[in-house]
Amino acid sequence: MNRKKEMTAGFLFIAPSILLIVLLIGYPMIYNFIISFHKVPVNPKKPMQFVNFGNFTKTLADPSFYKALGVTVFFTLLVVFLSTAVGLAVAILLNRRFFGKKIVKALILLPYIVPSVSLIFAWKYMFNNTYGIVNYLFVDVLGLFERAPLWFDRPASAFVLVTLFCVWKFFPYAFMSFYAILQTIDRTLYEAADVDGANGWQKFKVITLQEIKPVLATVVTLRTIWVFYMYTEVALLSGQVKTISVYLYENAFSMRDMGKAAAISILLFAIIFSFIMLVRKKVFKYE
Amino acid sequence: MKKMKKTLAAILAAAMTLSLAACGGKEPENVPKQDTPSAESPTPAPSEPENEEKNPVTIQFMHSMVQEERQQAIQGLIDKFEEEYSWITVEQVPTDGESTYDTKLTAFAGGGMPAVIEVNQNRAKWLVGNELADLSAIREVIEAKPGEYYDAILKINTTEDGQDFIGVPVGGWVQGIWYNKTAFDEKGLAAPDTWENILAAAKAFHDPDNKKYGIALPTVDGAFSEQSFSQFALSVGANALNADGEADFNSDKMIEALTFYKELYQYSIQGSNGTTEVKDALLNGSVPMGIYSTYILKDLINEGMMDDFGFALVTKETSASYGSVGMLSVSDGLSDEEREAAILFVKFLVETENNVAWLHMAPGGQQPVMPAVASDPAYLDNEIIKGFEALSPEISAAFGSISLFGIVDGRNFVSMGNVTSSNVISRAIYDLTVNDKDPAEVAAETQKQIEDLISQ
Repeated sequence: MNRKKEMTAGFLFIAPSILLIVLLIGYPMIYNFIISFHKVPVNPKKPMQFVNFGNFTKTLADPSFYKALGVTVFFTLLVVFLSTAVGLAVAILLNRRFFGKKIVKALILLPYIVPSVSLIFAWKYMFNNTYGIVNYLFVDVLGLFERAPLWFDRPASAFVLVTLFCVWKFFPYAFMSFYAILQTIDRTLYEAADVDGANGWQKFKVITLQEIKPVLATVVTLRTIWVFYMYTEVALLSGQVKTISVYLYENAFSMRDMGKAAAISILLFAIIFSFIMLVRKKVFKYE
Repeated sequence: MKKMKKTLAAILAAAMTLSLAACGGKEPENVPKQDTPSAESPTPAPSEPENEEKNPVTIQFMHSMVQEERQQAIQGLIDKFEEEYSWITVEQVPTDGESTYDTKLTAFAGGGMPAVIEVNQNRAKWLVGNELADLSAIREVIEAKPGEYYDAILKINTTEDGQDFIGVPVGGWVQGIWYNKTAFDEKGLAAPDTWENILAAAKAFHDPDNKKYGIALPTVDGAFSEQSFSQFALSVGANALNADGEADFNSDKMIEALTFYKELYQYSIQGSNGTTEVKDALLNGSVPMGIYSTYILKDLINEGMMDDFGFALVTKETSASYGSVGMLSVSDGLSDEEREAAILFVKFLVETENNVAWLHMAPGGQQPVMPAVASDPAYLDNEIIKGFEALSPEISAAFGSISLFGIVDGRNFVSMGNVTSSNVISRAIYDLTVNDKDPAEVAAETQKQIEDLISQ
């Protein structure tokens, strides 16, 4: 009986938050769902036209959708894996005392706290065909190329650079999360492992990985969602990396096909939601 | 209990994921609220404000002048206006960038459009095409200034049926070829006006081993490339639409223009060239010529390069320059009070004295659209404007030669607004040059895309 009362009280406490979520997120979700079945005129005074599943079939019949989806999945896997791995490696490396640690930590956080737009323009200048430092080094100093490569205009090199940029920009988030949890691990566990003759990999696998698993799950989940829908960095760095967010943006704001854009977002929701649920159930079975 | 936790977690995760999924169409943060549509009503003359009889009204003014000093200048104009019409409050909605502006405009179109919006002719056409502009309000302002606009400006500014105007012009800029006269003279080359002269000069100057290129040609997947290419196409008589407003991108003339543009690209800085790349190349001397707008004047003067530079129009069968007219649009669906306030505000902004203040925000970049303003001593009393006095005849000629895709036989097709904002022509130019596509293939693909857009 007491437990039931506690539960009721608990729900009452979180009720305001749930109400806010319903109002701020629920309404746009429902409206998005409704317009995905309509042809939506730009002028709100004109009536929406019900097209049944037309927007969905149009999207699913578009080869560009699958191409963008494929690029996005590959891009997300790479960025999430690399930024998490680099973040974890740096956190482990810094989880000890050494001179100048505060400065090193501040430098690591720098790309994460500087606005994306500034960094994007800095990168574009670095890779500029006529006066970029990268081409100066590769073409003029080292002579690796006869002519400056069009880094952001060729899909393959643009993909690599956008991936690198995102890993560099976002690994500090993983670093911060892992660094915080690493500091809570009891040192005696490692001492006991040393006594048992465990090597570095065994200590990492049996102690570190087990202890950081909840944070790892959160970092991977959030970063997957963010990278999957990432637009600013991808679109501003190069028009050649056609991820799903770029595809969605072009439909919504270049072609101004809001119905199709809404249908795309519903499909994406289904994909990413299933993926996250699967990963949490199969990979991070810590509950 | 565990099941309930899981269900709750699933609901929250679903909400979080879908809310992120919807981020592509993020709502603007400060969507102004306005009343529901009402019937059109005539506006009283602005000369006699009846402050005490009026109910307070607030209108929003969306513009692209995000720079702090320009916002201050606009605020100065607003303060002056509010002093004269004390019952009206005008709020600025400064909005940055090409795509951001379109995004915000699209979001506003869904409800709560600002009463007055600064647009170029393409956005103005888009507003008119979607019945989001109050044409009678716009006409009322323009008719209050009969015969005061340049003819070339009004040609761009009429609706498809020639009966109305798509916006109230406040300023304009032209685009053409900027070239280093000194460098051309040294090589004994003619000014780059005809196709042949442009190509000959590009070949003569091209020396990529020494990081010198023949021309800075716009190729970016953005509006700049369409603007630049349109001059070559229109100068040979090719247009994106025909006299019936149908797609006409696959014509022999258009393929000829595409082929020439591609050939010219061989002597250009390679890659995706936007405004930054072209301007940098012109100013740092890596190219002797490039296609840019009058917005470069200020930089040429500041860098002490104005005397070296000339301005030419692309010429083949005829001369063609690209021009953009800055306009003010009054939104449809305002309440009577808001509509009246919007009209008064737009009338105020095109009064000579205030228009001069508007143009002085970007001296040289935005040019006058009314002869009375162009010759006004207050307008001419500016260091930058004095600095390019010698080029004034060329710039005036460029205004007279403005030709745009979508204007055919005097008809200004509003559907061109959708074509331009969709970027299909710019993407075609990018594919043609940077991606080395075949001109005929590009023309055929673009034709199909324009047909699809028009059929929508």
